[in-house]
Amino acid sequence: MKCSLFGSATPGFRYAMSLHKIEDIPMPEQAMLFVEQPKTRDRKYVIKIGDTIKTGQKVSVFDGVESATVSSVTGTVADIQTYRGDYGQTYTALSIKTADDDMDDAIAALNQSTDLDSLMPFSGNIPGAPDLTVFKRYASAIHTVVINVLDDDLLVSVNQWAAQYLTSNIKQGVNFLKNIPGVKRVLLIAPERMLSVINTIGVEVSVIDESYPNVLPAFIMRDHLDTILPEGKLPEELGIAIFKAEAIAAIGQMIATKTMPLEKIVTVVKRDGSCQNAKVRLGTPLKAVFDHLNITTRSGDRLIIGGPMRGASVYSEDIPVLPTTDCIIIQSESDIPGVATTPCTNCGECVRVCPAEMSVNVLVRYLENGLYEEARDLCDLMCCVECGLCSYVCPSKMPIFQYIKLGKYELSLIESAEEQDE
Amino acid sequence: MSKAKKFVVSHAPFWHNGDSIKTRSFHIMIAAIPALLFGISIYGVPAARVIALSIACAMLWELGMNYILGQETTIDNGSSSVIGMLFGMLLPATAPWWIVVIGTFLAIIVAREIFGGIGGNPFNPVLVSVAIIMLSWPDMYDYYGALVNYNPGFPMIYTLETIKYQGFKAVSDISIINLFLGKQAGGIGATCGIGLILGGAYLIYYKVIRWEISLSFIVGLMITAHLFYVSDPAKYACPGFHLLTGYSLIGAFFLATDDASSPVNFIPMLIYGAGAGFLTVLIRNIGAYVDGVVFAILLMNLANPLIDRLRPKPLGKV
Repeated sequence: MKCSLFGSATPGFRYAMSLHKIEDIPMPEQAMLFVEQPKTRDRKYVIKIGDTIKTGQKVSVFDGVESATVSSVTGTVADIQTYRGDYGQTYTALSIKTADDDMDDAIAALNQSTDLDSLMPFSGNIPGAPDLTVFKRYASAIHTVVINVLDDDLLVSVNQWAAQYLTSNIKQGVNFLKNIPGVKRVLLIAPERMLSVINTIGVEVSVIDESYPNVLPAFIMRDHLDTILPEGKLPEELGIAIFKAEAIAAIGQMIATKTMPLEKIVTVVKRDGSCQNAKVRLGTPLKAVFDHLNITTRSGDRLIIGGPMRGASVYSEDIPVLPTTDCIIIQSESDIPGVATTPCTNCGECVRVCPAEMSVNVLVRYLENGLYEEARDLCDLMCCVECGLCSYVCPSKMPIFQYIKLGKYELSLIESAEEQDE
Repeated sequence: MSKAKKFVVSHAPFWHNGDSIKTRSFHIMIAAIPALLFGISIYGVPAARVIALSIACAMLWELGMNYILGQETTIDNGSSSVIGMLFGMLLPATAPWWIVVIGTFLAIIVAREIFGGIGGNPFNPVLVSVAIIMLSWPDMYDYYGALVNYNPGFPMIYTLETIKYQGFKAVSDISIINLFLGKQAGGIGATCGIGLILGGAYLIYYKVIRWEISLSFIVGLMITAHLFYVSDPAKYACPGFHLLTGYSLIGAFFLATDDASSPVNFIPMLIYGAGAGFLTVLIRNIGAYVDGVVFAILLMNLANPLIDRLRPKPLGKV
């Protein structure tokens, strides 16, 4: 999938400009739940094959280990496996044979109260995966909440869809945010073409330029909040929380209907590059989505969860649609550009394209040789905003973005090892 | 989980703009065609022979080095052909075969491969080779001697040498237009001003070279030449002469812009280009050599790692 948008005539990538048409995907026969807890030697399963799980039930897998996962389906456990993701992330995957929805008592509790504390258990389990724990977790209270209407990668139009069609839910969600103690400002970031819809929400709106990668937190803070995000810091540490429009719509729905939102919008990009949105029950395996959209996958294809610039490829089509899954891309074998072992020729393309103005050409020389600490101290590794443009333009086809992510990961390992020593 | 299908897994991003070292090398070769064709049309088969031998030798040296070091064959990326081609373009048409063989050896092996191959060379490989030959066989780049038997229908004058020893007055009958059209003595592909400018514009349009370097080189050269010219118009050539003679234009568009040995940040590129232009005129006017481009660019290559440290502060750095 070569993209000619980056020619000499056009200034750069634009985010998805139109809303893709949407298709409902029925409840799958078999769903899958990911619990972000790996099986270790001293952990004992408390769940077994044949157990029944209700929708909205908190799924505990191991004895004495608290889980944050809330089931999005009702059914019986058919299989328990381990799934390994990128950078050592390990999940316990529960295959569930689905049945008609049977709501757990936890959802009924929403009828009594919909304040922050009662929504907290659903944090991260509803579409858009809003992390409501930020309001409790950080010592410096969150004072500004930013709602992002654009999606964080190219081709994706999930948040735009939510803003367009779930406007009343977003309104409810905004009211909820405004009532959280400590929150002084709720700011909605939207492209100019969507203002007519966005303005009906009745919240402060800031217009964003739609060129990639303006949606990344560092640029949102620079362009809309006049704050510079210091290297290696999270916006939350400065009292700023950034949410997706879809997540706020999901919160709004919980408040308005006292139910748990179970269906998520996903952009599916087919082999030919055509995009389509689908409404999918959380936990639906990718294969069920493909089957419904008449997409067949072959060996040698690449399946990508997330957008073309920042997503992650997966090795199995059995993995489920998670609350964070905004986009699924199928790339044919012939469209995969591949990487090469050619060294950097110092052409400077990466330096000119880097939106954070890093000296990528020097940085990559340190990273190639595993000098991660030098890369951080001398070449500002932690300033990287992770947009992927450097790898996109590299004539040597170096996996620069991968080097950067690996460098950050290795540094985090070094830092945690140092902390343990102390 | 199904084991039947094996999907390709790799790291983001999943797109690439399709650029490659190969395309960049081909762009450089295409850009050199106007100037090269002009040279071959003037000097005939001997010029074509020098260019062909030079490209072939350069590729063979790299192939041999790949073989000795047990590396993957890398000649298909075209970078050694570009080096061979540029080396040939700087030679006079009558250059003997052995100088081409030695020159390409110096360029590919000495100036590039022993520093780690493509991207590792601290100096422009072509210019290292030219400089070594200039010092070892000074007659080789004496265009008067080399091209004495040619009579292409215009005076075969190597203007820089004439100006150096006889002053600017001696060449006052040569019009700038003729120089621009390439009616002068010089390297096979280095004389045709219009061809080189066309090639440079092509490279800038396709973003193979950085316009900042070419432009600042030309501006630096013109300003310095103008200052000299104002101080003594009888002795020193006017800026136009400096720009259109010797290796100035091929230096600005093809040599100073070598990726590995030039800076990539904006201000360093301006300093690098302007410095090379300034040194060129300085060497031509008061230095020992007739043409200063070779040593000027090599000197700026030397300063490149230092000046490229002038870089912007990245976002988030406090």
